[in-house]
Amino acid sequence: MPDPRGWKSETVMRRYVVLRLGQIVLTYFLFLVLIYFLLEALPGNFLGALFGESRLTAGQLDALGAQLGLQGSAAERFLQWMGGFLRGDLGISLSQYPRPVMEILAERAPRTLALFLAATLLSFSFGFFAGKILAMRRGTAFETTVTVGGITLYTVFTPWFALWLLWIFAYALRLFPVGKFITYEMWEAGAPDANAVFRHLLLGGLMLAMVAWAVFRRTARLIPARKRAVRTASIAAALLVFCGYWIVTGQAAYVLDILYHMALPVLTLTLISFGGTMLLTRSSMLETMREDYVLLARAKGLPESEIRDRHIARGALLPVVTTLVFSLAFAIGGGVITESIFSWEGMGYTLMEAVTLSDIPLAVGAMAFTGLLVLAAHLAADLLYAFLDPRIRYG
Amino acid sequence: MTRRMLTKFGLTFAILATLAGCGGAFQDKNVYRIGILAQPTAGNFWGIHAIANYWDLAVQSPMRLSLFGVSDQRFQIIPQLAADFASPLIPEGDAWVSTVKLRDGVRWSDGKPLTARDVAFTLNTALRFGLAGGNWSAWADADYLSAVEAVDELTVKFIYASKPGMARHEWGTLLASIAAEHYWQPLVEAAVEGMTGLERPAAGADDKIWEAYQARQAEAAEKLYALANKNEPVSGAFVFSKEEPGSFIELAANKNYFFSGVAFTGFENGAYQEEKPKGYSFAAYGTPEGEKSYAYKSGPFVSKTVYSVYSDLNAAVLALQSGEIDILLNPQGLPSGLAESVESDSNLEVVKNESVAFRFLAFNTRRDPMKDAAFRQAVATLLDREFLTDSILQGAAYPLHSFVPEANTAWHKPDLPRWGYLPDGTPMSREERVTKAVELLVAAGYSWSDDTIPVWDANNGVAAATGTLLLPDGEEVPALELLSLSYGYDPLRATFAIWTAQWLNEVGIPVRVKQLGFNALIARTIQEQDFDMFILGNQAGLFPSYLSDFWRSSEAVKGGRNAGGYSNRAFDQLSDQLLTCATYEECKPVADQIQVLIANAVPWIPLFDTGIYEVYNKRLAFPYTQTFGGLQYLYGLPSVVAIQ
Amino acid sequence: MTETVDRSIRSIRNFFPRLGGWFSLFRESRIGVIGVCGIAFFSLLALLHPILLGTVWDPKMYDPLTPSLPHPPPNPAPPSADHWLGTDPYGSDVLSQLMHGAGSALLLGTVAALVTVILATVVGAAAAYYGGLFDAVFMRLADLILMTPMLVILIFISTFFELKLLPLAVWIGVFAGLGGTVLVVKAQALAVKNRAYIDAARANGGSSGYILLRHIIPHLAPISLLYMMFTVTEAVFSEAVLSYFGLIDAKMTWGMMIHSAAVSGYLLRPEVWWLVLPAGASITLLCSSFYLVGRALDGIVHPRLRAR
Repeated sequence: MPDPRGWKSETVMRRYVVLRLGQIVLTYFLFLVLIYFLLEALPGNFLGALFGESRLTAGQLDALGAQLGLQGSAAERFLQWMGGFLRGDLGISLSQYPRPVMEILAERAPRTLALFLAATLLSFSFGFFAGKILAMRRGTAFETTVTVGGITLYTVFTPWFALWLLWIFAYALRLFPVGKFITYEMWEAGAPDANAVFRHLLLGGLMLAMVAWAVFRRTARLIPARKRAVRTASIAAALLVFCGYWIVTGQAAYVLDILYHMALPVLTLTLISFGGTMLLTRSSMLETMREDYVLLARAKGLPESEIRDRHIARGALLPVVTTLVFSLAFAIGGGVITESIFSWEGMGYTLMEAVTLSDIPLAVGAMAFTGLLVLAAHLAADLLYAFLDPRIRYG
Repeated sequence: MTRRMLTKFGLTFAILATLAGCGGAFQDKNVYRIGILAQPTAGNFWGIHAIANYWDLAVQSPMRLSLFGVSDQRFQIIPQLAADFASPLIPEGDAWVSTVKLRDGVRWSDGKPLTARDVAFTLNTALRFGLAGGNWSAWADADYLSAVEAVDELTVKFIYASKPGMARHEWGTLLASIAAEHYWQPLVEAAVEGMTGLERPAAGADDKIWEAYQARQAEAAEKLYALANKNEPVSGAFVFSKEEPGSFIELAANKNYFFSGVAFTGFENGAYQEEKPKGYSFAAYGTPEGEKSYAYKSGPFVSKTVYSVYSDLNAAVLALQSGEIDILLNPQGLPSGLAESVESDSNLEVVKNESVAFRFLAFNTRRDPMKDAAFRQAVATLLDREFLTDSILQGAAYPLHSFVPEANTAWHKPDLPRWGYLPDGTPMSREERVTKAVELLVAAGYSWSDDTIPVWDANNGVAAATGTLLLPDGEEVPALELLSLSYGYDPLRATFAIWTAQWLNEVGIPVRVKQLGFNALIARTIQEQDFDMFILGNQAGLFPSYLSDFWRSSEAVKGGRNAGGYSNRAFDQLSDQLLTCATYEECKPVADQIQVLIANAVPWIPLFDTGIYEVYNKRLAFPYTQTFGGLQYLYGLPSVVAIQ
Repeated sequence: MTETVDRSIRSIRNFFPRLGGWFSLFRESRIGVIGVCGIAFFSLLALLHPILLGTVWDPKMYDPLTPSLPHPPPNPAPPSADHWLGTDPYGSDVLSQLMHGAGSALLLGTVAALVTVILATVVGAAAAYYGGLFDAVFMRLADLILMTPMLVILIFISTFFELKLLPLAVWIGVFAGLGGTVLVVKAQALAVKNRAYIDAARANGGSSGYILLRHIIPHLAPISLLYMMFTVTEAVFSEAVLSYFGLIDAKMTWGMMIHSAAVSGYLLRPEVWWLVLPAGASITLLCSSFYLVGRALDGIVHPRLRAR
């Protein structure tokens, strides 16, 4: 007789994870090969882009090409790149010659991460929250208005919308700066390195998130009154430590400056993407609302709010969480449009520049980085489904 | 739950708003804030001049001086670090040499004197490492320059293996930026310690030896590019101060700037004058007297120049309007719609200038019928520039008739032969164009199938040819492709392409427009040379040697500038002369002849340009704002601008 | 074997009268009707355009791309009797451009949406149900698609497949369908697969195909159909991106209209609203119509979601 809690069995899960990891390695290398040759196959190479600007004759271009490592066949170049990659060296960027790719990514990744993680989490929380309400208020005028609003914001033309928000809040109202992530005047000589502050901010944020997650798990079984008190107290304490760290190291003003600059892009991103989550949640909740286990909970006489939050929402979480995990992975890819308009030079912007300029080392380096995160996210999502819906089994 | 969230949001907002108020307190008024559209690379002096885009040069130029520079407005060669013009080239054994005397008293930003040894070091290092790329290929062309010697503290000797002309000497090597030997030499030696194989092989050496040599050089060059440049002493008006990657670069004024306080004057009669108070006085190109075209004193008058990165043009203009930056530098300037929108802003000033760029239509002269000059002339006749720029594009572009812009007064030849214009200079009407084009083709032996000739149909306003054009040998002209960028990417060029195709089809020449992305277009045209005709853009330089690059036969290889494969012995001869002529008096007639030849043979047809709109904050004071290429061509004049 | 064949034939025969039933259900759902009206409106615009050009409109003035008699300067001109929505910066009629673009957008949206929904549903359900190698292969394919940024995919397909709109729509549909959408659908299918009624159906002797079609897929419909809106939006936006890079081989699309306004510097100027608002509003309206249709459809396909 198979174990009824089959999926929770250690060995089954472990076997599944090992199998997936193996597949991940395979997929990753397949991806690298594909992407490299794809980019090489695109018409033109980096030197072609120099046509309009430089004064180089054919012979001089050849010499430059030799220096940049553009001689030889695509296969030779790939092997050379792969050799470097396995040693942890992502090569030298062509468009930002002679800067190493790794250095460029290390500079831009934290910026994108900070912005898009914040935006994704906010947009999903808000979307989920709104979707829950929509599902409960089905058929009302409220539902119609919010749905229309959500769809309009979701389908509005992003560059235009972002620019308008910039115009309204940064120019007309002078409430926020016109993009960029720091104010020059504050960061003149003597100030800390902005990218270092970003990294610390990210780390701090991550630690805060982990603490919050741990607190929520531990207090899940307490009675509601106690639960709220303990949760609020712990979160408050964590926040205090977080802010205290910044004040003590004297970087509080700088961090606030960065957050100040993050406000507008995060607002824009949230507004244009929450609609998707909202409608997804609504759909999903309506689907689960009619499930048998909900009927059972109602028959048991449980309070409506508990049914909504414990039973329905949990089931509805499934597609939402899937999309969330992937959005987090995409957060590192960044959004070219938002990054351009808010002058937030991050990964998305970098990738676009690299691809249009045929800067293959940089483009492949950036995608190698983001690709790894997507694979990790997929595995995490798969593990999460099993956690969220007890009836899902693997193997 | 909602109430608590709202209070949290409200609190955050309040904090942020307070901070907004604090932001204003930090402003130092005497800072020149420049907006740029992409982050410059972090390369050092050596790497930057290998592959530099506009932004790199915008940030580097204020920090560097060269032996010679160009004068304001007229763009004539004037001495900068040099005290006077270079001596004429004289043979010395197998080589050709020229000497330059340096100005006395020039110092690096760390106080040490700038000597001939710095000049020799810079160029010899470039030669030694085989540095290639945008500027190095012009400054240290190993096919010509063999070495540079420091004869004494203030005298430099340039040694050439073959005789260079103005193109390679005055307009090449002598324009090189100079680096500080006392800073770089130890670093360079340490980097290449132990490396062998860096000696230049003899002229007739084996291909394999050359390849090995180039490989060693490439390795060494990489090491050179990786050297750190913190606290590098510079000779320009500004010194590097701080960089926040992705956000801004700050330069501080150089207290040891040699030209601080020097008065520059240009006269209506073409003369040029420099005067340093309690120092030297230099004049050239005529007697410095009479009406002045411009007069100013060099600064720097600002304590800092800051380059702020805005990656979107609209956002950058918003930044201008809200006062975050003083000027926006962009090689394309602003699109007319944006320029119009800021005209009404009382804090901002809009200027328009002629740009250095041009758009052109190129023929693949390896193929029929583009091979035939008469065919190309017929196309040039049919192409109605004024109609497109005035009626269709409505002033967004203006027609060009030469590859040397009018504003380049030193070299521009006026009254070139034009196709499609009446003798008095007015553009022909469509009927006249069709008639003339048909005349040209018939005279060259072309005919049309069905034995017809396209006739102008006054009722419908078209020339409805019933037959296809036949080559002189009787074969039908193959279906031709006109490659262009797509309408969405560049409506101006696409419009020209679409209309040109239409006009050609009307006369029985089968042409189809094919729209491609930029990279694909470059690949097919420049790199593969698989095309019939294409429309692209390019830039004019200050010295007309670029004309030689575009059409001489040695550039017809794949990847070269002569993508159409134009091959004309007379042109090649003129081109050689242009590259070896030694003085302006020698070069000018050659340049004129080239312009006439090209205007007649039209391997390329010059089409249009858009001019350049620029915007800046009225608190800035420039000595002049009308200049060829606009303020962006001069990188915003940071050493001269003043804040009112 | 014959049992399954019989049952399948019966299902198919039952399908057609059911279609009639579905149609009346659809008509009753108000949002569905609104959605269809929206799509019909844009279809009308697209169909009317060549008719207008052939009759009332002089092509010399109203050609969406290269009119030989454009509106005299100054351009862009405000709406007038001749040009109901004004003109673009080069004197072309905006209404004409809008109508021409409607055809492109509809084609793009419909084809992409259909391809995505069908692919994602079928593959997702099968992957969840059958598991094993089939599941592994398609999940890894989805990974590969997800790891590649959309921009790169677009540039890639535009380079190798001379981009006309129909192939672009199909490719966007394929990539969207086999990418993120299939993962969400598969997750849902996994949840459904282990429910009690599936076991019951299997116990009753239903074949895999029958179970997939009759039990699992209807439960996936809401998600898939919701993703129809996401895909249409993505398809239309992708077209805008491709127009920006000049990689599309189409005469005039809504994306190009907005892009040429942006390139000329008119994006932020409310006084020339006709350059951006008509195209932008059309995009929003079309995508919303698809969403509404999707919502109405899932009410029909999934019986439990009907309002009664």
